[in-house]
Amino acid sequence: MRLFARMIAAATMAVAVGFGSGARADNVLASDPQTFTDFFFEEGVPAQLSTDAYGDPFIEFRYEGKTYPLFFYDCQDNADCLAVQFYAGYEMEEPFSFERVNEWNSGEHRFARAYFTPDDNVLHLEMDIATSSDGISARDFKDLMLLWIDRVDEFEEFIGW
Amino acid sequence: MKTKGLFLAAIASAAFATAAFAEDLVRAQDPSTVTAFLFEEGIPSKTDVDGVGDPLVQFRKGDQPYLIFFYDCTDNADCASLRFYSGYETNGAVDADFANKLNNENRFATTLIDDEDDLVLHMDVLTGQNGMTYKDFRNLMDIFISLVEDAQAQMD
Repeated sequence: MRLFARMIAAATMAVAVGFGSGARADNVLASDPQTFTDFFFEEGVPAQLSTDAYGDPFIEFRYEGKTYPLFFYDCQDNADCLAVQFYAGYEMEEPFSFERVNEWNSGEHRFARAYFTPDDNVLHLEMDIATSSDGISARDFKDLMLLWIDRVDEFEEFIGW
Repeated sequence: MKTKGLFLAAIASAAFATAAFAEDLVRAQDPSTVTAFLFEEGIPSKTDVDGVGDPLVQFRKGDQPYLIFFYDCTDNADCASLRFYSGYETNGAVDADFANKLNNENRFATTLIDDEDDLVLHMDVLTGQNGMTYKDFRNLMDIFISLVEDAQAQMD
C-alpha cells in the first residue's frame, strides 16, 4: 500500500515536471535552497546550508580556500525565497571615502555593487540574483558564481585588502 | 448562445496562451524579444545601436526614458546579458554620499555619480541560456523602475 502511494506520488511528479515548462531539473531556485547545495555538490564546491539571524536559509561555500556566504532574500516566513545575494564585508582600519566607492561602482564591475557604512567602518560588496519563480540554470548560476569570485578579487585589489 | 460563445472564447484563449507560453521568453541573444515584451506590456520602445555597435533598446515609462544595454556580445550580436540604465542631470545637487546611501538601501541596482555629475542607476540581468519568462523579467523591470522612482523622490 505504501509502495503504491509512492508510485502515485512519483507519477504525479512526472506530470508536474512535464507541465512545468518554466522550471527545469537543473535550475537553482531560492525557494528551494537544496537546489543550491545540489549545485555546489555537483561543482565539487564544499557548501553547507543553515539559517541566518532572521531564520532565512543561508549557505556558506568554500572556493579556493575562501569562505563565501550566500544569503536568501524575499522570503515568506523564512521560506519561498525569490532571490539570493553573494556578499563580502571588509572591516577597514580607516574610513573609506564615498568618492572611492563611487569610483568602484562606476568601473567595469558589472553585477556587483559596493557601499561603505561609516558607523562601523565596513565596506560591503554585494551581488543580487533574482531566481524568481522559474529559477536559473545551473550553467548560468555557475557563470555568476565565477563572476562573483572575480569581483571579490578585483575589489580586494582595489581597496588594498 | 451567449454562454456557448464565452465557452468557446475561453477555450480559444487557453489554447493561445499555451501556444504563446513556449515562445514568451526574453533573451539577450535576441533584442527583438525585449521589444516584444515591452510591446506586450504597453510600453513604447525602440531599438538602436550603442557606441560600440551592440544592440540598445530605449523605452519610456511616463516621462522617464530608460535604456537597456546589451553585454557579452560576439560581433555585436548573440549577447548574453543586459543592463537596465537610467540617468539624471542633477547639476551637482547630489554627491557620492547620496549614491552610497542608495547602494546601502537598495538591492539589485547600482547607483553612481558619473563624470558629468549625473546620477545613474543601473541593474545587470543575465537572461541566461534558456531565456527569462515574461513574468520574471517583468518582476526585475518593476524592481528597477521602482528604485529609479524612489531615487528621484529622494532627490526632489
